[in-house]
Amino acid sequence: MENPTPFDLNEAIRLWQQNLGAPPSFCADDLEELASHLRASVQKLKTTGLSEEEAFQTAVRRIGERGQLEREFAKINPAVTWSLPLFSFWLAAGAYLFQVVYWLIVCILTWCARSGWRDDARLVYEAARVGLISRAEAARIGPPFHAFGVPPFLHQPDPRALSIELILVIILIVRLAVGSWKVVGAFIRSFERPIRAALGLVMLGFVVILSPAVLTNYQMGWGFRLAQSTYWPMVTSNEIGQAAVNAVLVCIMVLLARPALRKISPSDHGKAEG
Amino acid sequence: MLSKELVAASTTTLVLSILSEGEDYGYALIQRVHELSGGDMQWSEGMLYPVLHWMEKEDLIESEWRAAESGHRRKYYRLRQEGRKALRAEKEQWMAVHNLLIKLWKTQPRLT
Repeated sequence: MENPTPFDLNEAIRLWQQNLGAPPSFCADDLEELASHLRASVQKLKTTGLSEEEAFQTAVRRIGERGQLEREFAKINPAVTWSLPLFSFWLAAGAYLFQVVYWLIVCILTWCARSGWRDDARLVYEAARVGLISRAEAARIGPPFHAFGVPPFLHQPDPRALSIELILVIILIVRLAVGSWKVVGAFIRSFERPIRAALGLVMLGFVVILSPAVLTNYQMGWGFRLAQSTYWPMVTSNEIGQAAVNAVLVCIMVLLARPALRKISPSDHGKAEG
Repeated sequence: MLSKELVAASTTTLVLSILSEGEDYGYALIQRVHELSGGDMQWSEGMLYPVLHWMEKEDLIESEWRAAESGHRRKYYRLRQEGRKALRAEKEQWMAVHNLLIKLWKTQPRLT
């Protein structure tokens, strides 16, 4: 005799969610809300005399077809379609954001070094290289600096000029190009899945290495020499000059990226059909 | 039954109007519209949520997850200040259209 498996609403909803789709069209919050809707609908339909399974099937039909739902939800969870302008934008943005993090790390490590917490050649070298401490101070901090040696291309930018530039350029990037903080949120949400996020980080890593903005500004070892000789021969040691060059560079990238970014602006979304 | 276009055009206004009476969740909003319209207005159920999320992004409404009686979580929406302003503007516009149509139809001879 046949012994059918009893209908499990939770399992049915889980399978429905699984079948429905994944980010970026649907985020976890969307799926949970749709599941909540199905439960409410099933409860209501059961009062009309339908079995739980029948009520579930009816509720699923009423909530809409997968393709239609996906299209409508995609409007509020836009996937970022990479294009050259958009890539250029994130090239610049990624580079500058990296610089902020880099500065913070170096600042913290410098404080640690000065506090005597740690005596590290690389740390002292980095601190001297970005101009947080002078070469003389770096030499005082410890013998490892001497052991490491002072690179011939050691350059000490004016921290004030760099700080002002970093702040201004980041505000410029975010505000001018994006036009709204909502798009930044949409971009971050598009990296929900771990693989996607990892790919995004790898891409940003490449951006940091390849970005002319970084090469001209931060003189990251071989990159500085490469930048001086190949990419930006016009760049001098004048920090204001460098800042101006970078600001112009970023402005161009921002202007290029603006149309692509506007496409994913929530303000441009058509309202979903009722 | 109302046309798809009219249903779509009135969705935001209807949501704002219902939420002006108090907070509610998605399914209840659909039920309320269905009841009030006497079944004339049918929302595609799943399509309401992108509209709600869009309205939330526009700061017209805000949402909060809370536990329902069943123990499962349910997302409640409520009107924000911007939403109240938007509702006032929407009311004016819909009333302008309504008054215009009433005037037109009162002055014109019956078509049938």
